[in-house]
Formats: sequence, C-alpha cells, structure tokens
Amino acid sequence: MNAETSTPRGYDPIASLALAVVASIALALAWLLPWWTMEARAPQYGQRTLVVEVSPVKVGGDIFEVDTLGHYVGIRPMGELASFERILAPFGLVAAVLGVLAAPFLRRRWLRALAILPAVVMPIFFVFDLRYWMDRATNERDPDASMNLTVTAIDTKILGDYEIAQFKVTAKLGGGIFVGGIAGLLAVGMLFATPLPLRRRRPANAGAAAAIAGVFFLVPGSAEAAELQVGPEDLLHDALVWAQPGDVIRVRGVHHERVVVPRSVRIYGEPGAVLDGGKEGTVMRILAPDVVVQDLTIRNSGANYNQEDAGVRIEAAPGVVLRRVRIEDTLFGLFALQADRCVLEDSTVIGLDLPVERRGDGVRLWASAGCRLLRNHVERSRDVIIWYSADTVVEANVVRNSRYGLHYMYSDRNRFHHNVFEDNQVGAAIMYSRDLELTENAFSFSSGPSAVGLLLKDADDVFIRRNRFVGNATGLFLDNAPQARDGRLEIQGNWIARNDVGLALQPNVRRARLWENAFVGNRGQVEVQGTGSAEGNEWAVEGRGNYWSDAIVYDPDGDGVSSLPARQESTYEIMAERHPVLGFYADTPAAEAIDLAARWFPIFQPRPRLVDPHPLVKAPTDAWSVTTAHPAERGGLLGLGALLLATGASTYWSSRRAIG
Amino acid sequence: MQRKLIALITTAAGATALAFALSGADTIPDDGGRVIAGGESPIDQVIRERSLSPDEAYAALKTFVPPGRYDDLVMVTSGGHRGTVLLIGIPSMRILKEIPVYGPDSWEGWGQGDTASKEILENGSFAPGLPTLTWGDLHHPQISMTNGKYDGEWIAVSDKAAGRVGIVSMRDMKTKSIFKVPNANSDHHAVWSDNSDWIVQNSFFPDAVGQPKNYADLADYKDKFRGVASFLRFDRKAGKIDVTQSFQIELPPYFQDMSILGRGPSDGLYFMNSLNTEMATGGTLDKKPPMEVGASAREMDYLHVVNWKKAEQLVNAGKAKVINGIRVLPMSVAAAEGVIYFVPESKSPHGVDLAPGGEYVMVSGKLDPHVSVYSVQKIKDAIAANNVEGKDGYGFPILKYEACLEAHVPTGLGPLHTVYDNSGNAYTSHFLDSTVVKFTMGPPYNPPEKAWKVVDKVAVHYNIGHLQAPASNTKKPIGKYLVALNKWSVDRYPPLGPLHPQNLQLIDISGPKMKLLADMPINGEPHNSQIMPVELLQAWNIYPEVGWDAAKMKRSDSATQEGKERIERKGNTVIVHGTVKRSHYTPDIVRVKEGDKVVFSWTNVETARDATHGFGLHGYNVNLSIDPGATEEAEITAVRPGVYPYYCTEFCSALHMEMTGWLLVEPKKK
Repeated sequence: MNAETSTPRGYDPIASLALAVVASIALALAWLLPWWTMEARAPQYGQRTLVVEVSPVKVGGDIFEVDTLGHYVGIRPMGELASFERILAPFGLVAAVLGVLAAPFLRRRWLRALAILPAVVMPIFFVFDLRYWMDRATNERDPDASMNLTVTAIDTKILGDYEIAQFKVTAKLGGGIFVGGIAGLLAVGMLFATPLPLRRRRPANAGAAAAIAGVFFLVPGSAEAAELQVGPEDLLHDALVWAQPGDVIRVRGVHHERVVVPRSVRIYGEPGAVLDGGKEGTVMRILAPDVVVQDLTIRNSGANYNQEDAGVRIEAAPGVVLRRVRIEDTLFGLFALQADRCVLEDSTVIGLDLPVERRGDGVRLWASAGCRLLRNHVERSRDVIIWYSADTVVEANVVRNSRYGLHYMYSDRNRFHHNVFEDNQVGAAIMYSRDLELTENAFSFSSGPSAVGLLLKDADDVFIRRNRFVGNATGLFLDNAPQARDGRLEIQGNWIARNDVGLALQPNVRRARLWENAFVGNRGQVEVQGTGSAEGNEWAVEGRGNYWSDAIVYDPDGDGVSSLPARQESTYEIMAERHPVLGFYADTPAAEAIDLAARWFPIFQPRPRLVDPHPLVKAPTDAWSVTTAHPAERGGLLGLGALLLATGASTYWSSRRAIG
Repeated sequence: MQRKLIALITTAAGATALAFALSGADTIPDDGGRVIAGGESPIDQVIRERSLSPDEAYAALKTFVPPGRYDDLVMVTSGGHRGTVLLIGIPSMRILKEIPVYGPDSWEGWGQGDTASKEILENGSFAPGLPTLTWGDLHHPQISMTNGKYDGEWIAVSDKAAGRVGIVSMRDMKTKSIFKVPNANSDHHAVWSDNSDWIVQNSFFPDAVGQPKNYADLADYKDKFRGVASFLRFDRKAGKIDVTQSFQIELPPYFQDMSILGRGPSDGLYFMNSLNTEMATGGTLDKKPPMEVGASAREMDYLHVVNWKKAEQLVNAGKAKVINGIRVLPMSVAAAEGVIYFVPESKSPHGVDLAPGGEYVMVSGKLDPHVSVYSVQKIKDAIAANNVEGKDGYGFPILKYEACLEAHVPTGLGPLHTVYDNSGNAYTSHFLDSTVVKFTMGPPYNPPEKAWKVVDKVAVHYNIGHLQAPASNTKKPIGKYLVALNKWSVDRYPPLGPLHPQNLQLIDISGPKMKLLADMPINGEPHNSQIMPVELLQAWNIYPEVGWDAAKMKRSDSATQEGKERIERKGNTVIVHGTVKRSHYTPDIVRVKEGDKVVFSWTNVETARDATHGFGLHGYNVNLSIDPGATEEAEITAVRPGVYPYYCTEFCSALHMEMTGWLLVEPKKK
C-alpha cells in the first residue's frame, strides 16, 4: 500500500567490486592470450599452416617464416612493426588494471571514466593500430625486393580471408581481445555502478591488509567493525550500501539525499553534518535493529500525509538509538513503527511551518515497547504520540507550540518525569492505559477549543505527583479514572494554579485520592461536568487535605491543617460558569462578596461539589518548583530590560551632548 | 492583609445591602404573577425542596410535555443488537413505541408463532442451510424522503451482523420485508436517495466474494477478499427491494464503513469511508498485531468518491457480471472508467456527513481531533484536472489531499459524527472527550470570515457515539434540539446490575449556548437515529378494512366475518376461522386430534382505536397481537395430547379475564 518514494539507487557493493576484480583478472588473462591471429597457407608449405599471433606486447608464432616469405615480396617484417606500441603496451595494461581496480572507489563519475579509459581504449586502439600497421606493411613494400607482386594494393583484413600471392590468409581475432574487450565493457559498467567509500579505516592491526585491495571486503561478515568516512563530496547512501553491521559511518558536510539504513550501523555526524531530503519523501528510513544515529541534522522531508513523509522512519527494527539529532522542517519527525526499545535522546524535533492541524507528529511511537524519550525538545509539531507502546520512559522533554504534547493510548507501565508541556492545545492526553507515573512535569498554558493541561481518561493505577498545572484553560481533566474495581488514581502534591478551571471531573470519577495539592487562584477550582458532584473521591489522606487559596482556614492547634472543612460549593462559581464575564472578578473582594451574599440569601441552594475535611493552611512547600515563566513573560522582561537600557543610554547620551 | 479584610467586609456589607434591596421578600412573584407577601411561591418551594439549580429548573420547564399533549418531534432510533426500531418523543424523551424487525417480540406477536412474520424472518436468512436469524444488529434507521425531505412513509434499517436491509412501513409501524444483500455479510449503514427510489449500502467486513464456495483463506486476503457497495432499487408500492434492478460495485478489502449519498452539487456521488487500508487481518495468536493495532498503523485511509450514476450506466451497458444473483461491476472496470476516486482521510475514520445542501463532506478520523471538511467542488475539480498523487494497489487513483480539503476544524478528541441545524451550524460528537462541539459552516451557510469556527462545547455522559438533530440529513434541517446517544451511563442511574442502560441526552440548541436538558436511560444499543416533526406521523390507528393482512397490506383472503366463524378439517389439517371481540373468542373451544396440523386464523372485527386482542396459546410458544381490523394466523402441530387454554394477553375490557378458550388435543387411539 505504502507508495515508496526513496528506493535506494544501484545497490550491492559486491557487484561493484566484482566488476573490478573480474575486469582486472580479464586484463591479466588478456596479457597472456593472443589478440589477433593470422593463418596463412601456401602450397609450398604443404599441410603446414603458418600462424602468427599478435598481442599488444608481442608478436609470436611462425613469425620467422612469415617475415622471411614477406621479405621476398618486400613486405616488412612483422616482428618489427609497431615496436613503439609494444613498448608502451605493458604500461597500458598495468594502467588499465590499476584504473579498473581504482574505479569502484572513485566518487565522481568523470574520475571513474578517466580510470577505466585505458581498459576501454586499449582493445579499440589495438584493432586500429593493427589495421594501420598491416596496411603499411603490405602496401609500403620495399621496391628493391626480390620479387614484385602483380597487384599494387593488397587489401589486408583484420577479420576474414584474403590472398597474398599464392598464400591464402585467414585473419581472426584472438581470445585476448575478447577478454580485453570484456574487461573494457565491465569497466564501462563501473561508470554506472555504485562507488565504494574511499577511505575505509581498518582497526590498526588490520589496516595494512585492508589497504592492499578491496577484494578483501568481498567476504561478508569477516571484517571487524570498520569506520567509513563520508565527506561532503560523497554520498551517505553509498556508505550505507557498503557498510557491514557494526561499522561506523562518519558523516561530514551537507548531503542532499534520502537514505535507507538496511543494516545495523552507527552513523556519527561531524559538526555541521546534515542530511537534507530536499522536501521529498522520508529522509531516513531505518530498517535494521540497533542502528545508532547521532550528532546529525536531518531536515526537509516531503509534506505528503498519505506517504507519511518523515525525518526518520523506523520500521520493525528494535533497539534503534537517535542521539543528539536535530530533525527539522519535516512533516513527521520520528515515525517509529514496531520499533521496540527505541531511544530518542538529547534531540530536537521541529516540524514544518504549517497550521498545526496540517503538521505531522513530532514523535510517533506505534506498537513499540520499551522506548525512551529523554531530554528532547519538540516544537511546532502536531502531536507526540505513544500508542500500543508499553514500558515507555518519557523524561525531561520539552514539547511546545504543538497540538497534543503527548497523545497516549493503550500503553501500560509508562513513566513521565520532569517534562515540560507548554503552549500546546492539550498538554497530555492519556487514555486506556494502566500503571502510569507522572512526576514533576509542568503542564502549562494550554489554550484552544478543547484545551487541557492533562486529560486522563479510562485509566487505572495512575500516580500524579508534584506536577505543575499552570495557566491552562483547564488544568487537569479526569474522566472515568480510576475505572477498574481495584484501580487507583492518586493525585498528590501538585501545584494547580491560575487555570480557568483547576480540576475538571466527569461525575463518573470515584475513588480518586487527592491530597496535599495546592489549588491556587483558579477561576474555578474544581468543576464537575454536567450535574453531579465530586464527593465520591477522597479529598484528604491520613488527615491531610489540599490547600485551597479561597478557603477560610482556622488552625488553633497550629499543625498546619485547618479545623474547618473546606467546601467547594461556591455560588459564585456557578454564576461564573453561566456568566463568564464574572470571571474578571475572580479572587477579588467583589467575587468573595458576591459569594458571601449568595450564601446568606440563597435563592437556589448551592450544592456541595466536594468537602475537603482537612484543608491545609499553607500550600505544601515541597511542591516541585521549576521556572516555567511563559515565553511571552520572558520576552516581556527582555523588552523591558532593553527599554530601560535604551532609555538610560539615550539619557546619558543626550546629557553628554547637552553638556558638550 | 488587614486592608484586604477591611475591603472585603466593606464590599460584603455593600453587596449584602444590595441583595436585601433586590431580593426583598415582597418582590418575589409566584407562578401566577401574584405576589405572596412574606412567603415563598410554590415554584420556588418546589425548586428548593428538589434542590434544583437554575439550569435544572429551566430544563424541567423546557422538556415537560403536559398529560394529553404531544411532543413536537419524534426520534426514530435504532435498538442496536435488539434488532428493533424505537420511536421516542422529543422533548419529553419518552419512548412511544418499539418496533421489532430482526428478532421476536411477543407483545407485538412478531416472530412468536404467526405465519407472516415467520416467512419474513425466513426470507432474511443469511444463507441456505443456516438457521433462521432471530437477531440482527440494527444500526441505522432511515426515514424515507421525497425531494430530499422526510415523507414519513417508510423506514429502512441496516443489519451490521448479517448484511441485510429491513423495511418498516410507517402506516402501521410493522416490518414488511427483510432483504439479504448478496455478497455483503455486513451492513453498517444504509442510506436513501433523495426520493427513496434507491437504498445504498456497503459491506463492512470484506468477504470471499465470487470465490468457489464463498471461501478463501486470510493468507489470500489482498487477492481474494472484496467489499461491495450495493445500490438497491426500492419498489415503494411493494415495500420491497427489486434485486433485478439493483447492482453492486466490487471494492478493495478496506473495510468500507459509513457512507452518504450526495445531493445538489454532489448529486450522483456516493461517499464512503474506509478504515483498514492497511489490510490488516489480525492474528493475535500468531504474534501478529491485533486487528485494531494493525488497522491504525497508517496516517491516512481513503474516502471513496463513487460516481454511482456512471456505474449504473456501465452496468446497464453489460459491463457487470452476475454473482449470487446480482449484477456486480468489477473493480477493473470501475478503476478504468473512473467510477471511483480516493481522497486521503485521517486514519480510522468514523462519520462521513453531508452538509444539508450537498456542498461539503465532513469526515472525522477517530484518532484525529479535527473534523476534515472536503469541498465537493474541489473534489470535482481535482477529478477533472486529474490532480492525483498516485494509485492504490488496485489501480484506483488517489486525489491530492490538499486539493480536496476545504477546512480542518479543531473540535476535540475522538470526533465521530456531524449533524446540522437550520442556521448554518454543525455539531460533532466526540467519543473520547465526551463532548458535543458546535462549529460554523462555510459559504453558503455563513460568510467566509465566520466559517469553520468552533463556537461552543457541551459535556455529555459518557462516551457519545452518534448524535442527531431534527431533519439533519435532509435539505431542510430544523434545529431546536439535539440528542446525544451516549454509549455508557456509568453513574447516571441507581444500581441496576452490571449491564448498564445506555444514556440518551437531550440538548437545547435553540440559543447560542448549548444546554443539557435531560437524561434518558434506554435498553439496547441505539446507534443512529433520525428526528422528524410529529406531524409526519400519519400511521393508521386502525386498519383501513376489517380482515387486514399486514404483511401484504390488503384485505386477507382468509379473513373471517362475524357470524361466519367455523372450524374446517381437511385431512389432518384443522383450520380455525375465528374472530375476536371484546371479550370473547369465536370459537372458544377447538377440538383436534393428536398429530393434527392446526391453523388459527383470527380476525379482530373491532374498529375501535386501541382495541387490540392477544392470542396466547399455552404450551405451543404462540402469542399473537391481533390489532383492530387485523387478521393474524398461527400454525401449530398438535404433537402432545392435553388441554391447552388460550386467552387474551392484551387487557381489553372489564371482562378481559374472561376472554379465554380451550384447545383440546385428544390422544390418538392405539
């Protein structure tokens, strides 16, 4: 189904090397074989056939007889013809062999063309040269010869039968030229074959052996881990085609190509190393287990949803590690299908500059168990998705300006620590899973139509501790969690502040335990969706409830726990839900006054949403605190600083000028 | 702190004074507008006693239908795997009636011994040699239309479990036929054309269509499994599908799901979702990914855009081959002739819904928190310009996604279905968020600057599936109300055992903000529904003639007139030509011999509204509902000698208990 866009070009290093080796063997063989034979018969020699064998390096056979006979009619002795060429020929052969052997390692096609030139040209040159000399030998006859032939011009042939005087001559091409010609053709093939990496550094002890010839590498798997260098002029693709499992490929420079990683290699980028997909297809597809990619920038995938264009796509390959990579301007960042134990760490993923719903997912783990997402930075993506992927660790990541910081389903036993989900539409949506820990994450500034810091639905054994939910439309949304008879949901020590709604629950939420959380200045502290109450949950554990910024506390015994239960039943909240404009007065004396008045003179009975029997006097101090200053706030600070600096400087300047 | 306290006290004092001034006891009006000095009005008292919130008091007034008055609207909803159709009044959310289609119902005497329903159920068998089905999974009831508006004549229903189409007449609210669609083993969805001359459906599960003995192994899934889209010609007069005028189009095995027929600019087009273009087949024991995992691997599936009018021409031109008695247009022809184009859609889509005028097709991918809006014009332009990005493995061209897309509306998690009101708004249900989200449509419903904006959201309880608004799928939606059909009720009702009812919720959409008005527990699994004005209910209260055969919709040949009751014997067959009337059977004694075949033919000779009689026969698994004017037949073989009373099961009069009779089965002489 999946349309392939980046199929690898001419493949298989063995083929390329085989070409070289066969061609050079052919050339060596050609050295030994005759390239051209001439058989001559004449009555005076009876049954004997005179045979002359010519190769680039020598003229052999019955050369003496032929030359003697020729002498009578003034034909020059063949043994002396083309002596200069014959001196050159060995060099030509050596050059041809060396050229052929070198060709597979040459990156540039014109270089390869140059290298194979001797092998290709030699047979052709031989034929023409032979023709030339034969022609001269037979037709520039010695006028002082013993006999004069009746014909003036003899049509010598390179191929075929002809007659000179009473001689019947048969000229044939010899095995040598065939073999040589084959070598030439093979050499031409090398022009189009995949070149091999130029520098393949062996480990020190094997270095010398490796240097001898590429033939060594023909034996697959015999080599120990090697290191391949891919310079700016080289194609990473070629190295990938050539590299054996365990090899290291070092990449330098910017490479405009899309690659497939078919074997378990390690790809290390040197500073500035870039793989650029040219806005087409998927930039890197990893099909082998335990591939390591690090210190590499991967950018410019295509933007086709139907083809799922991605920066990196891992298919059915466990144990892949992406470390310190930068995936930018790609539709999907990392698209991992059945990539168990995949690791993405210390990396950056930045999506295409499109409206959020047209972007792809920064990270998608699909049916990939045991993965680790550590210390990454995902920005301008659609979602980070973890589906059908158990035992995932998500730690110290930052996901910003995306749709779902985390979209998470059908995945058990996952850990989320120290992540920052900021400025997304939904910080994290976690559904249909059990045994989850969320500790010390920040879910902040989620805004949009269905914006929530953390949505938890149909989940069990979830432990949400010391997280921050700040400035979201809704901080934390619970739906049917816990759900199983023995399922647990514990929400402890979280800082839930300045959200429009701190905690929203569907009325089906029961048996959740919430304690030592700080509900600070949320426009609505706790909101029940539709009618119902949140009373079926435990709002205090072991005598410690939550801190409510709007609760009236009284702590005569000074144990930090109020003796007055805190009720969330605010008529003001009910009114604020119906008249959002009142939200303006949230946490103001006016709101408190409206509340007070409404409690004294109820027209409609306020209904308790929940009662915290042991509210805390102060917000728990051990609540995790990180700086999650809104970028805009930071920007504001920067602007303010700049303004002050500018004002100061200009004042100073103007004062100086005034004085001057 | 001190200052804040002072401020608080001061403001509180002021607000208190204000509250006193405004809520002075002598200014509260009671329900009659009179002022009760020093007291509380009865309405306030009720509100206080029942501890209602303002919203709840509003909802109560909004939904209450006083005794004897009718609801404004009627919802025709499915009973799911109960195999029934329900009629529910809106806004009262009272069940008006439940109509059995695929399974027996002893109250209505359906499949409970009467010969007519037995024949209809037998005609709906899955395949020869298999047992007669007594259940079906009825997902989508559809009210017949004339010129794209409900006409209140017929209800067509799907059967996801067996690939059948049931036809219910709205004249007497009884099932008239069940048609097993050849080559389709499932039918999630069936839709009418705008004049109800066609019923169009597509199979959900691919099948070994056209393979020898209808068998193929899953290893040959790609080559031998196929889906079909069925275009079934409906004969309005007969209330039946005419298979000779019907045809199918062979489809790739992609699990085609929900579908919709175009109108207006999209007239002649049929749109279908697909959810398994991965062609996953499951195989958990073979260590393959489970079905749902495999079928959600890709980012996109394909919206099928079918030019079914062109397909009809090709079929009529002889390009089809007959498979299992129906003409089937092969995929090769469909692909070569441009009958089907694909448009990428978000993976695992659910709803595909048509804007009332037919300008937009809205698709929701269950795992994509957006509604994707496709412009019909853009799709047509893309087809005309051949703006394709490739072909699928079966040769169908795939149009470019961006070229067909009009808008992406960010509505929320798990969007499923979209319905429409009369003021240019669309409403989408969200299974995961448990919400209904309202958004504006584009031109011509709203100016471009107000197009495709989410404007409101309401929480529902819980896990909503379909939602429905009055006449939403017609040319002229009505608005006013919306019903959320929620799959789970969890805590909405007191403990009722582990199997929970489902929860329908009525939502007021007449204002800018949606308001939740009422909960309604319902047994069975309602999927889709349609809502029509109550005035369209034009059912008979009594049959037009005494002696009516409801299956044939004409006077029965075996109807018995009063005074002509008799018992006839033909060999071993005894025929009872009887009548029922308050409060007696004639005859009230029937004597037969062991081994006789006994046919009871009862005619209710009453023409009084609601004077229905039952015929409950002990021991022989027979109960008939003999409605006023109806003739009903039951046939038994008197296999066991003994005394078998029969009696009226429908309380009919003061002497109802006396409305009895005897079937005496005399033992064979040895």
